[in-house]
Amino acid sequence: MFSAKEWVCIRGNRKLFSPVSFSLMAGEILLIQGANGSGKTTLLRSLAGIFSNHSGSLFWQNVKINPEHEDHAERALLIGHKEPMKPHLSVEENLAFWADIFGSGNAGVKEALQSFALEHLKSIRIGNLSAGQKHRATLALLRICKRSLWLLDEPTANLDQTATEILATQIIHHREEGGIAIIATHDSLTIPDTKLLVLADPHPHLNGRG
Amino acid sequence: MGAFFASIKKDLYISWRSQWDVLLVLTFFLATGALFPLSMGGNLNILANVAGSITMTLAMLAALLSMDRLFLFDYEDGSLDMLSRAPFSLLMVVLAKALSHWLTTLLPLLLFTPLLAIIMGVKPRDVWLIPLFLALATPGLSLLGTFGAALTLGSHRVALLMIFLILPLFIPFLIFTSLGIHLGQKGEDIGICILFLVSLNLLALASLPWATAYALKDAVKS
Repeated sequence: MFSAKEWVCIRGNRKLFSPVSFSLMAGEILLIQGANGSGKTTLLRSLAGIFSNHSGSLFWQNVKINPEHEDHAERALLIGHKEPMKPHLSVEENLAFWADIFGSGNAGVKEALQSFALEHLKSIRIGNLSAGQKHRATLALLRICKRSLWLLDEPTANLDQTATEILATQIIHHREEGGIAIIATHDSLTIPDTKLLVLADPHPHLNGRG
Repeated sequence: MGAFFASIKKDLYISWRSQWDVLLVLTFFLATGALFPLSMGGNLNILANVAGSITMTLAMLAALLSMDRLFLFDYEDGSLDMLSRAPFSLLMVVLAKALSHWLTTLLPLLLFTPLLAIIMGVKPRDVWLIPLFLALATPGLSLLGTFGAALTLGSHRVALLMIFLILPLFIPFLIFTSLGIHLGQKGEDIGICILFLVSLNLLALASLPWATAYALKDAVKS
């Protein structure tokens, strides 16, 4: 179980959004929505333990945790807009590098290529792929670095119909294994039974969004 | 250690497939080096006496040229975000980066230093001094380079900052390399210079990677 209480990210002296609280049981999925600039990306980065200027508390199995701590790194994986794939290396070589880093070996690479239907692209260099194909290869990291908490930032950006369906299948598969996913998205990823969190502007009168 | 070797393997693959970056540094080194004998006319004796200083200075500048982007791509494409949450210390990433920078950028220069020494009129029996001393001095340059590259991540004036931050720290390496080569050419004892260079490298190895790892961690947090 993963929950947050009055969680908020701060940049400068400004709160990026009104404090949020949520509680997710194993297998639950939370969709985060909000306007551009409402802090979805920063929220996910803070939940992943990367962005460190925040206040509020996080709980894992009802125990208070520090997201920057290395224990949390073994639970959470963030896949965002950035694609940690090297243009000079092929899809398979890139995934193999991350498999070495996260210790999932050749079996992990094979499983990732299969899960995201990338086998026909595996020997093509990332630099020669389209934006959507590159993003699909990045999402395959979810099967290389297996974590119980998936933090996905606009995962459907650039994806075509087929790839979006593959992603939805993977997310449903993840939930069936008892995993949790928090997904920032604009369009409706077609997954049944999700919770929804809308990020609200904490200073509407200042930012003119009313 | 798996992460260390995986990082080196990745960097070597990338350099091999984008050879132009490596060739640019090597070409800069050789071309500027070849300009000295051309501009000195017949005074090769003068040049032979300062060949060590010139080669080391050029190696420093060539190294500087290749350093500002050491971590930039890893920073921009999110690799550092992932690596900072990986089940090992960023120290491994830093050490791997320094070693792969040395292997792909400075080692090729080192292999061509005898050629530069000869065209600068260094006596054939003294030529070995130059690759020897550069081999002793350059590992420290790579460690300093990774440190500077990590500190300047996210800045818009990286190349300029590197000149002000890192070039001064190269100076001890320059002094003992030049002195050692000069003494060697005169047939005097070079032992003390070798010891100083080794200790400078050890000092850099013992202190910089931790600071570099910390700077990287700080850069990804924002």
